[in-house]
Amino acid sequence: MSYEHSSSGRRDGRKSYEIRGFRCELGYLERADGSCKLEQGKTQVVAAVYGHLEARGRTELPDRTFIEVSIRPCQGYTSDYLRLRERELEEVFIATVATELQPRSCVAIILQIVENDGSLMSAMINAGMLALLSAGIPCHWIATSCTVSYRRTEGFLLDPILVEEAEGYATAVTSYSFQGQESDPSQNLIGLSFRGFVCSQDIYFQSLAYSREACKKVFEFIRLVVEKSQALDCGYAEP
Amino acid sequence: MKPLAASWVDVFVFPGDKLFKLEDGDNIRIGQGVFKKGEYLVAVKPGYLHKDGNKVWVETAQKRYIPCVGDVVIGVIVERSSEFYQVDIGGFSTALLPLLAFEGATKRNRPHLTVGSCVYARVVSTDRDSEPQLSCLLPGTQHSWVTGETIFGELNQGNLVHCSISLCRNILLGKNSVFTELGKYIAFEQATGMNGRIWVRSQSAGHIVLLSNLLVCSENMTNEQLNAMIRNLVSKMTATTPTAIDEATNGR
Repeated sequence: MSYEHSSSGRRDGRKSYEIRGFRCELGYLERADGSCKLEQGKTQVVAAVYGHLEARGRTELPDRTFIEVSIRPCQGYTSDYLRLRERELEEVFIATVATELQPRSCVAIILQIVENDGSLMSAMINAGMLALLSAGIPCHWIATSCTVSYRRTEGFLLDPILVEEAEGYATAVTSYSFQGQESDPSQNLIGLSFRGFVCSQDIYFQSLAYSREACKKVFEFIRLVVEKSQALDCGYAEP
Repeated sequence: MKPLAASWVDVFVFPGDKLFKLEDGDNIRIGQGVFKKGEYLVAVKPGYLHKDGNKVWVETAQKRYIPCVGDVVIGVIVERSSEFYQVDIGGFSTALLPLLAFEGATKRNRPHLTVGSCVYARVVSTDRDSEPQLSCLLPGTQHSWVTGETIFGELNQGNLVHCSISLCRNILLGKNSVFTELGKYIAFEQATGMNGRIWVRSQSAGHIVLLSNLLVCSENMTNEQLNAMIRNLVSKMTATTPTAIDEATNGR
């Protein structure tokens, strides 16, 4: 595999298929039903989930839960570009949340960008998922995400930083779902958002296989974080 | 019902984990966090899996209350219509309490609750397509609401404390000894709802403040720490309130 041992290496010394370290604080906000702060390298996102709330007007669906995603930028107003991203995230979370269990209700997911250093969409999906779990919103699976940046000479890079994203000629945000530890993720691609074109089929399929492995790592991280947080909560109840 | 792993009880499960495979003739009651998908029971929330007889549920540490038939809750009246009170019980929508759902209430003679008053009730139905229904009736009681001796009904005076659902659950299960310990020193009344609300009433405002603060503190303390704190605070209290001093002097 020629893509792996790239001659130049990456700016932060990672290998092309390596993802950055994750840090997470669950229950970061006091008032929200579920919240988390997720750091993916230098990219930082705070996610809050409110719900289930009473749905009114256009948000009241007779057969399922309405999911509302809003992205708040570091400064200024939500631009049209972010509006589009909101729609993409909404699709992922509508599929993830068991919306049919609680009709005529509304779940609001608010994602505050604190710092953007590449792979922002993936960080937002991962943070949103963690917040949903901490709020106890019923879900069909655990959604995880990883960004891939494609380049001419070195094949592709996983979890690119902002500079690497700009240098690449295509970026893909891949999301996989995990149902149980031994589930087969090759069947579970739930989201794929592409910008640009990939010239080689070989590289494309290879990148999907690697991003799947990266998502599996994210999945294990999410499991660890959630299990630890609840163990602390229930800890004092033990006799 | 066939478990899909060696031990699926009291383990931590995640959304999407397959828990049990259903077989013909199974009679299972599924609770919070469990969902039937085809022939499998699947978890939809992260938490500890519990199984008691034919009941299966997932216990989650979540902040928002989800109404469940049989739960006792404390609600606040938000609106009154010709047939129902609308009650805020902390769920995603308000619950309905029929005007006549009080012990011994008739059209002529029934309690008149105002907006903002507290009511202790139980959940009688949680249909997914309608608002949850509450009732203050308890089959088998002899008392009428007029006597004020019924278990359910309006909660007068006192203070309503908001706390986490897990604290309420632990108090109701007897894992948290704050009330049993306090009962040794001061007289009070309490009502604990499953929806993260506890109502307390005592002889003076000072006592109510003491009770409310202790309740909130008790969440993150072990029972030994709690007992020590209660003794400490009660002794300070008795030094200042006149009634307690009277009692103390009478005792001598």
